[in-house]
Amino acid sequence: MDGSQRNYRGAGKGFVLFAAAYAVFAGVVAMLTQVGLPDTAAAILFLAVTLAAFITIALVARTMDLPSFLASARALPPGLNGMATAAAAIAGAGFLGLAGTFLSGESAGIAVIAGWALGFLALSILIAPFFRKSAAATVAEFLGIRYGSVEVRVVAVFVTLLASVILLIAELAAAGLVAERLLDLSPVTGIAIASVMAIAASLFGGMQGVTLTGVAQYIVMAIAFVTPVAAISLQTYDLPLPHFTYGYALEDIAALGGDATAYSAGEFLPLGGLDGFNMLVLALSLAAGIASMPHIVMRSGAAASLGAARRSGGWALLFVLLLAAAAPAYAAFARLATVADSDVGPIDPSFLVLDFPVIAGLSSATTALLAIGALAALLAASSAALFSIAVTIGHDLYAGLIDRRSAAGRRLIVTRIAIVAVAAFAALEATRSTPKIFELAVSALSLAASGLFPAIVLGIWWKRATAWGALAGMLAGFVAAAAYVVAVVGGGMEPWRPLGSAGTGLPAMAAAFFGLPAGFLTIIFVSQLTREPTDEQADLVDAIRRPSPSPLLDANRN
Amino acid sequence: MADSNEQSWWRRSRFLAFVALVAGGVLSVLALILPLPDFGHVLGLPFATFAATIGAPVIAALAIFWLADRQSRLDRTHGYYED
Repeated sequence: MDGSQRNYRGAGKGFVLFAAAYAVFAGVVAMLTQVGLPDTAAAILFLAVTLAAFITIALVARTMDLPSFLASARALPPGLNGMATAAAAIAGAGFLGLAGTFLSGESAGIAVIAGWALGFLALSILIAPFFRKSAAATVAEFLGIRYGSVEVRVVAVFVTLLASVILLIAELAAAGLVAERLLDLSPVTGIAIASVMAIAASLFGGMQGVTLTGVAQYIVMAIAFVTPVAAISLQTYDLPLPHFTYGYALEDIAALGGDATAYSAGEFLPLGGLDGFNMLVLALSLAAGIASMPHIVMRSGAAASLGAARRSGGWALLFVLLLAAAAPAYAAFARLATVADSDVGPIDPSFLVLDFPVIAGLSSATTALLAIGALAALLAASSAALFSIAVTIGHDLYAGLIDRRSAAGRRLIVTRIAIVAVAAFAALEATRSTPKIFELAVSALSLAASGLFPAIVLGIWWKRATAWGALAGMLAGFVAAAAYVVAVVGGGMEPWRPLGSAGTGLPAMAAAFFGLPAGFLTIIFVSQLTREPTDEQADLVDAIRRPSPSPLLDANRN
Repeated sequence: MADSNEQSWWRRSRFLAFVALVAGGVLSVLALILPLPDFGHVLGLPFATFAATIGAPVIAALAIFWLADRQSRLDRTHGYYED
């Protein structure tokens, strides 16, 4: 075990103390509100202490060492890596939107959870250890090396930037909404705070900073998300495990005559009722997106070993599940409250999570805690997306294409300038965005899946895949998915109903239904038509597959 | 070019990956496309809901951990290790 690995194990113990201290802090604030602390003061206290903790961790994680900045010195234990990955994967859509999805139709929520499960399964088995072995810093670099092609790398850069920038803008826009609704700040102030926090997380420590703040953000998210439903579960069913007791709430709703209210789809995760076929398509699209979204795949390269890269996915899935499996409880307990108490007004699925304390009669401190949890989720995804964009600019565009002989120090400077510039651009766009940005953001997973997943998977598992095949497949997949997203989200086209399926049709979020087959088939077809890869290229694929003590690339290369 | 040891290692690695993918993913997929039978309640939840929201993801996570252990053993058996 080297020095970096020892440091991360020490950090793991520190985070156990952080979790305990944060839970005590939340409890103390809740008690203070019971004895007269004003709601606004409680919200400010939560905001100030939590953001101060994130900033402190970001400063402690600072580094000037390129391998630490790009990939946490490839020393992350699977638990920490998995926790930071989970925080980035849940993001604002998962924290704010999943519970509302269960309210408007259980099928879509189940498909999202299945998508996460299949996505981490595919990532851990098909991609993570090989990405870790390649020692590539970005998905674009990995594809460029595997196919020995600058053109492939450029297309991958384009897909990465487009998908990640859409996600970043949406996360910042959501931060503005949360700040306005619950903290009485203007949306612009909320966006500015979130942008500064995302910059801080990635600017000083790069991947190291994003990881350590991501772990802290996950802890805050988990405490904030589970505590309110656990309180209702304990109060109503004498068991603080909402993941299991919401089944009794469903029975109670039926016993009280049922809840016939039909809820529309929420804003943050705009999914309505789906039938079996559309559920499967949505889950597979999401899965491929999770397994190829650059800011998630990049985390595999930071794991301490190939085994740790695989296990990181397992831990990430369990950490996602801790929150995701509690989401149906929000919907069930809220429905029960409306059935049992006629004074409870109609529920807005977009804000089910944030309004839950009012619906369920919990203290105002819980409302502030949920707002901080939502902010932590948004910051985790924003920081990770911002870092992935900046590294793609600094490492792939600048050092890989513009100035191949640039020194490590110069690349660090360019990447850090990109972090600030991209955050400023995204913040500006977030202030001008419309609610459609949330639908676009969840569709970004399908765009990344269609443009990157077939090329990554076939690049590892099929030696015959050629650069021309990858190039054509990436373009075909991306265009096929983007056309559906643009038609449905931008053009107002009615979602397609394959095989006359019932429900709301195929959501834009599942556009990979078109992109993935187009990508896979085009790569296979064009690869068969073009010249077989050389022996050197075949040896490179063997080297990517084969475990060995030394990484494939020097950490200070272009 | 890969030697016979490497070819054998890769063949067995591919099989392990296939088994883990199928074992980890099959319940998730079945829960989406088939109406699961009513086996009563599991830990307070209807069986189908439990299988889709908790059972299948936990099985997927276990499949990942299982593969990681088996693959490490296979790597060492064939003389491939990182340190």
